[in-house]
This record gives sequence, C-alpha cells and structure tokens, in this order.
Amino acid sequence: MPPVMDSVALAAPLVLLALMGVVLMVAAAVFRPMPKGAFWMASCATVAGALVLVALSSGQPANEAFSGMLRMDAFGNFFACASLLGGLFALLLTESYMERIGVRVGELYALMLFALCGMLGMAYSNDLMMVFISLEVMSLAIYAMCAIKRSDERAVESGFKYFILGAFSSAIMLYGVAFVFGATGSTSLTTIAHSLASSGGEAGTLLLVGVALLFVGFGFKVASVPFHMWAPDVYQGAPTTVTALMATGVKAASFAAFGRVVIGALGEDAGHWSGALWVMAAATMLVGNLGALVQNDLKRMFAYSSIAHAGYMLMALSSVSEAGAVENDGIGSLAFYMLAYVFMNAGAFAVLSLMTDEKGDDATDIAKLSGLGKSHPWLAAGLSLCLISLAGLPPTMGFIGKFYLFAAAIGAGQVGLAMVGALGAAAGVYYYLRPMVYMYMKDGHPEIAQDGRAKLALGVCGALLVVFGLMPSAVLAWADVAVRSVIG
Amino acid sequence: MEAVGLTPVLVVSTALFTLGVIGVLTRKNALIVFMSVELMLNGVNLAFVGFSRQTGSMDGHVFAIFVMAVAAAEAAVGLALVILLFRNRLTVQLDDLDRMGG
Repeated sequence: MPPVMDSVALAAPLVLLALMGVVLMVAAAVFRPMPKGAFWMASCATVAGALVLVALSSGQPANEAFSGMLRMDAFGNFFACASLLGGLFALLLTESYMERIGVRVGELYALMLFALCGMLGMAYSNDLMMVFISLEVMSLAIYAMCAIKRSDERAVESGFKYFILGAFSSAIMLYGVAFVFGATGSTSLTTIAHSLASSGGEAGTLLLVGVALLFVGFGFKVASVPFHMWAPDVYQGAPTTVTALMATGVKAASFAAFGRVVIGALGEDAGHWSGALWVMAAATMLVGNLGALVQNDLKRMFAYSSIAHAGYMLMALSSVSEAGAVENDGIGSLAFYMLAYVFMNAGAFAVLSLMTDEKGDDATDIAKLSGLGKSHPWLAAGLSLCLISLAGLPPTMGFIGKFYLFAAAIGAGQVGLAMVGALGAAAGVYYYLRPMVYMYMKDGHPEIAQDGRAKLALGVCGALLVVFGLMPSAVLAWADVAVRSVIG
Repeated sequence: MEAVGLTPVLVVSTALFTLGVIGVLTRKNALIVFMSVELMLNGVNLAFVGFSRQTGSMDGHVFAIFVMAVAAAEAAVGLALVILLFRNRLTVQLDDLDRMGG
C-alpha cells in the first residue's frame, strides 16, 4: 500500500464521517422534501460505524498518519469516543425535535457528520495547523446548525454571535500558532516538545506570546472566563439538540486539543503556564457557578453550568501540568470527567428537547417543569439523576469524577484551587437541585412531547451514570492509559 | 534588491492584526466586524510567510494557503448568516442583537 493509503486506513473513522457527510449533503439537494427517517438512519449508522472503527483500533500502539499531522493513540481514541457518543445521543433527539420546531432539512444531518469529523480531527491532531483546520471544520458546521431554523430570530442571532466570536477567537489562536511556528520552526507538537526540551525549558518571548494567544483561543472554545460571554446566548438561542451537541461533543473535542497541547507539547515546560491555567480555572469555576444561580431558563442555566464544568476540567489540566505529570495518580481525571460530563449533559438535554410548546418554540423556563414528577415519573427520575451527577453527588459518575479531580488537584499541591472549586461546587448543588424542587414539590401540568428515542437516550445515559458511578475502575484505568499515551 | 528582514514583516503583520482586533472590539456593524476578522487573518498570513522565509522551510507558505481556504469557507458561512440576520431583523447592527438574556 502506498503511504497515503496507510494514513487513510489509520484515519478510517474521519474518512467515513467526511464521505458520508458529502453523500448526505448531495442527497439532501436531490431528495426534496426530505424523506422521513432516511437521513436520520443513515447518520446514526455512520456515527455508530465510526464508533466501531475507533473501538477496533483501540488496541493498536500509537501510530502517526498523514506525515505526523494526526496521531492515532489512546488519548485520541478516548476523546473521539466521548465526542461520538455525544453526537450519537444528540442525533437520537434530533429528528423528532426538528419535526416539532418545523425544520425539515436533510442538510442538518450532513452538517452534523462534518462537525463530528472535525471533532475527531481535534481529538487526534498532533499538529497545531491540524488543530486549527479541524476546529474550523467543526465550528463552521456548528454555526450553520445553530441557525438551521432560518425564520427563528433567536436561533439566527445565536448562530451569528457564535460565528463572530468563534471567527475572532480562531484568528487569535492562529496568530498564536504563527508565533509558535516562528519560535520553534515547526507546528508539530512532537517537534515543539523536543525543541522545548533541548532549550532546557527556557521559553523565549516569541514562544510566550504565541502560547498566550493559543490559550486565549482555546479559552474561547471551551468557554472559560474571561472568554465565556458568548456561551449563555448561544446555548439559549440554538435549537436544543444543537445545544446538546455543543455541550457534549464540542466540549470534549476542544478539551482534547487543549489537553494535548498542554500535556503533550508544553509538558516539559508546563510550569510556566500552570499559573495562567490556575487563574483561568479559578475564575471559570466561580463565574460559571455563580452565574447559574440566577438563571430561570434551563438552557441558559446549562450554559453557565457548562462554563463551571470547563473550570473543573481546567483545574485538572492545571494540576497535570503542575506536578511533573507522570507521577500524578490523578492524571486520568480529566478524561474520566469529560466522559461523565458527556453522559450527564446528554441525559439532561434529552428532557429539555421534549419541552416545546404547541407553536413549536422552546419552552425551557424552569417553571415549566412544575409537576413533572407526578405526570412523567420516569422522565423526572432520569433528569434528577443527571442533575445529581452534575452536582457531584453519589452514587453517580459525576461524584467519582469530581472526587478524582479534586484529589488530583490536592495531590499536585493546588489546595487553594481545590478550595475555590469546592466553593463553586457547593453553589452548584443549589442550582442543580432547584429544577428538582419544581418537578417534585410544585403542582402543574407540564407540556412534554412524546418521543421514544429521547427516552432511550435518557435511559442509557442514566444507566451508564449509575453503573460507572458504582464500578468506575475499568473506565478510570482506560482514562489513565489515555492521558499517559500523550506523554509518551 | 535588498532582502527585507524579519522585523519589518512582523511590524506590518502585528499592525494588521491589531487593527483587526480594534475593529472587532469597537465597530457595531456586522459587516465591518467581519471585515476586521479577515484583516486579522491577513496579519497572521503575513507572519507565517515571514517566519517561513526566516527558517527557510516551505511550511509557512503552505499554511498561508490553508488559512486563505479556511477564510473563504468562513466568509461563505458568515455572509449567509449576515443575510439571514438582515431578513429577520432588517438590521445588521450588533447593538440590536438583544433577543436573549436573563
């Protein structure tokens, strides 16, 4: 086989997603109006196929594809799985939700596959230029998906705000890439790590500026303070299932790329940056949790919640970079928490996607949950489980995840940061339990759509949260192997 | 003809980038803001080419082409969104984007 075919074979999940995306895009132009079910089935099958391909390659040793642009290793596999699972859950909710809000376009599914292809690219990319291109592949698809309901003012506004701030932040990030390229002569993460190691960890001004700009760019993408202001409006305005994808897949992919840059490329030199990460993490945890306290719209609350969770994961990143990584037992906590975060958000958004009024608009005000415990006991139970997990209470995966996250931070000597995080998490318990008060202690007649697939998504997420909450060792071991594979 | 050193290239590149940032932060018209983002990307391109000349590798030139391709795709999506915005609201002023909140 010529080398390029070897690379294509290694990157089979990405190739599959991209090809099927193109096929669906053409099909959407040919088959109008969109045949019911076909696009949905095809995209579900594609994502499931990509998951199988990732799983099949998980036993292989780390391998480079496309002259080192992609590195197919356990870290990439882990985050690719997280993104694909987020995508699969979002897809489960998509068709009937889009039917309810009156959007019947096949292009949506093609865009979804393109976005997932970009996410996988971010999970595997071992080169800053590849990170940028994957990020754009993902983001451009998501901008369009936000505004997919073209007559909805808020959806269009959300798409446009996301676009302007996204384009601004990727330009900043790209300037960072250019400076790192100027300082080290390469954009390959492996080469950057080597050149840092050979210079004895002495970073020049050019490199410092470059990495600072990179951090600003990543900060926007993961919605960390002070670059978080787009998240509430975008989460609220976008169609609920697109928000679900943003809260799961996009977050996982962004943290995959951010993590690989911090751990893989700057690892040798990470002490320089852990101060910046410390400040970002502390501010993000506080602002996210405090902002969520006063929200009455559930989607907006989940936006602030996602900011807060970005803070927890930044704390993990900060402690990994602080403690000479390899000796740290909590090194897998970042990956483990990411997976837990995907499950709990996907479950919660499954319920949110059912909350539409008779006109087909979102009705996600918290008061609309009143009486859900009586009228839909299973839905209420599932949502409660996800909220308990988000709050970090046992017996869920969220509890184990937070436990290891804080243990890792304290193990790395970042007791102050852990205390800030614990304060934020305490505030979090209040706003995560508030919807439960509405569901179980107030009377009302919630308007909830019927949809078996959303219930399936909620059921699977809830079950996984409990199972991995009680028996986390297998996933923890996998997460540990994954993060260690980057340190190499 | 005397070759231009790295410093002037970086000065122009930083000036372009900074002008772009100022434009994004201060202008209120969606199209002008969008143009400012393009200005930032051009500053980046210049930096890539400058660094590439200094190190003697072709990588930076290739990256500049990549960035142009991405910028074109971004323009397609961005202008489509501006048109949608105008159809819905009959304005492209960013101050008027206030349909969400609290």
